[in-house]
This record gives sequence, C-alpha cells and structure tokens, in this order.
Amino acid sequence: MNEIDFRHDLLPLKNKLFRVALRITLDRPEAEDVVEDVLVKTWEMRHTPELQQVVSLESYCLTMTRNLALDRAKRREAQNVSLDDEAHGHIAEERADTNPLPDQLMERDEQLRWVHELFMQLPEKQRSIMQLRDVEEHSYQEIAEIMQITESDVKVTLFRARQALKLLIQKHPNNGL
Amino acid sequence: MDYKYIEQLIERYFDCTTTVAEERILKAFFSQNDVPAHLEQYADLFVYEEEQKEAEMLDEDFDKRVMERLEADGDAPVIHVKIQHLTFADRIRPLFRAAAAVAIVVLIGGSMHRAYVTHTIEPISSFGVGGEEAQGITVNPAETDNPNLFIQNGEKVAITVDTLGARKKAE
Repeated sequence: MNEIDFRHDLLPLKNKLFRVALRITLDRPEAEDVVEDVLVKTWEMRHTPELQQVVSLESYCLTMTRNLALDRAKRREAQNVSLDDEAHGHIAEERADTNPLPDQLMERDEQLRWVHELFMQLPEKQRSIMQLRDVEEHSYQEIAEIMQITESDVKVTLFRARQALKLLIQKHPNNGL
Repeated sequence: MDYKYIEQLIERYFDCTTTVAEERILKAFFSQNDVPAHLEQYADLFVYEEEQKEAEMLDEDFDKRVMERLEADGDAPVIHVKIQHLTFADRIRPLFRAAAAVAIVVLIGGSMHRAYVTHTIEPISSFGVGGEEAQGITVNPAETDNPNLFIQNGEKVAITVDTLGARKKAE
C-alpha cells in the first residue's frame, strides 16, 4: 500500500463503513463513533508494517468496523441487560426488532419500512452479509476476507438469509399492509 | 411481455447462484414502475437494497470532528495547497484565445463578404471581354444566391456542389 492520504483514501469510506456499522450497532451515534475510531486508528497505523501489507484498504477498514461495532454491541448488551433477561439469550436480536428506524429511511419511503424490519430481524451475521453483498455489492471472496470467515461460510449464511427473507415476503403477499 | 428471464433470476437470487451483475439487473428491473403483478411482492426487497446504497450519509460535521481529533492528537494530515497569486492579466488570459478567434472570424468574414459583393456587381464584360456592354450592371446582392444570375450576366461560372446545392434549396 502506498502512502495513505486521509482525505482521498480514508474519508471517502465513511458512508460505507457507517452503513455496515449501523447494521450491527443499530444505533446511529454508536455507529458514528465506530467509524470515527476506525478512520483515526487506520490513519495512526499508516506507517506500521501491518498496514503496509494491506492490499485493500477498504476491506481492512470494513473488518475493523465490524469488529469494533460488535465489541460495542456486546458492551451495551452487558450494560443494559439484567440477569433475568440474559437467561433468555439473543437479547441483541430482540432489541433489534423494536429498535426505531433511522429517521432518514422513514421519511424517504414509508413503504420500505417493512423490508427494513425484515432485514433487521435477521441475526447479525446474516444481516452483515446481506449488507455487504446486496447493498455494497461485494464478491463472496471479499466478504469472506472482511468477515474473516471462509467463502463457503459466506455462501451458506447468505443462502439462509435470502431464504428467510423469501419466506417472509411470500407470507406477506400484500407487502405487509 | 415475457418475464421468464427475470423470474429465473429471482429464483437464482434466492438460491444464491446469481452474480453481482445479475443482482444489479434485478435491482434495476424492480426500480422501474412497470412491474407485473405476480412479481410485485419482490419489488420492495430489491428497491430497498438499491436505496440502501445511498442511505445513511455522514455529514461534514463528522469530517470536522475527525479532523479536530487528529489535530488534537498532533497527527493531522498535511493538506497540500498550492497558492498562486493571480494578476488581472493572468485571470483574463484564458479569454485571449477566444478573443483572437472572434477577431479572425470577423476579419475573414468581413473581407470575404466584400470580395463577394464586389465580384457579383462587376460583370465579366467590365474586364473588356463583353465589348460594347462595358458598363457595370447593378445587381441586388440579395439575388446573388441564384447561380443562373452569373450566366445571365455573361459571367464565367464554375458549377460546384455548393452552387447546385444552393439551387436545389431555392427550388
């Protein structure tokens, strides 16, 4: 990797990193903090051998974004959840269901709310893969690299996610209205 | 209309055998308004995926905050800005070429127009070829578009594609 330019190489990644972080934290200020941390940390590491070896700065930042977002989600879960709730497990996912939508989306298209909710009902791994594939249009190989899992794991998880969505869509032929 | 191709793509999408390019086709297909009733149930999914590509923007306040943090850490990126002092002449320099081009067109255009008018109002006889009819004929410059006029006036004229074209137009 050549000399990194903050404004040209790192800052333009902010929106993509934010979308990926938001799928995990489900909270805008938290996602924003994650992106800020990723950009600053990557910048500070620009002269380290680790970063010199990086082939795709974008993949590198996406990996860090996901890891930091997961850390935060876990930390928040530990802070907010009582022992009773913890017994039920999958707290983060339940919280995701009731989490309010980002305002921007609501304003833009009320009609797409139900799809947004379907997306958010998926487990984090499926949701992140859906985001990276169907929204950000990454290849399976890139997703495997970003999420640090095997390519076949990517495919299997994506298959489950799409099948789940298909089932939910077909259950609501009137688009949930 | 036949939607077999799209139906096939949808099926393959859910089986995860579509390429990114094929998935883009699906998004584009469902983003248009003409979706047949039997496929409409899938529209929101693909429209949502397409819309999310541009969703959730971080504004300039975010940029400012990050830059301030880098500065506070004493590790702000160096911004290379070239400062150039422009004099008035430098500022209007780009206009010179345009001005020169306009001047050339005006000069050439003017001299050609003059040559043309002069030529048409002086019949060939005025050079002593026509003999007795040596006096000049007044020609309305507006009529000079008619190529026959040269012949009527006893002038030598070369018929070119241009003159034929002009004649055709006149007819």
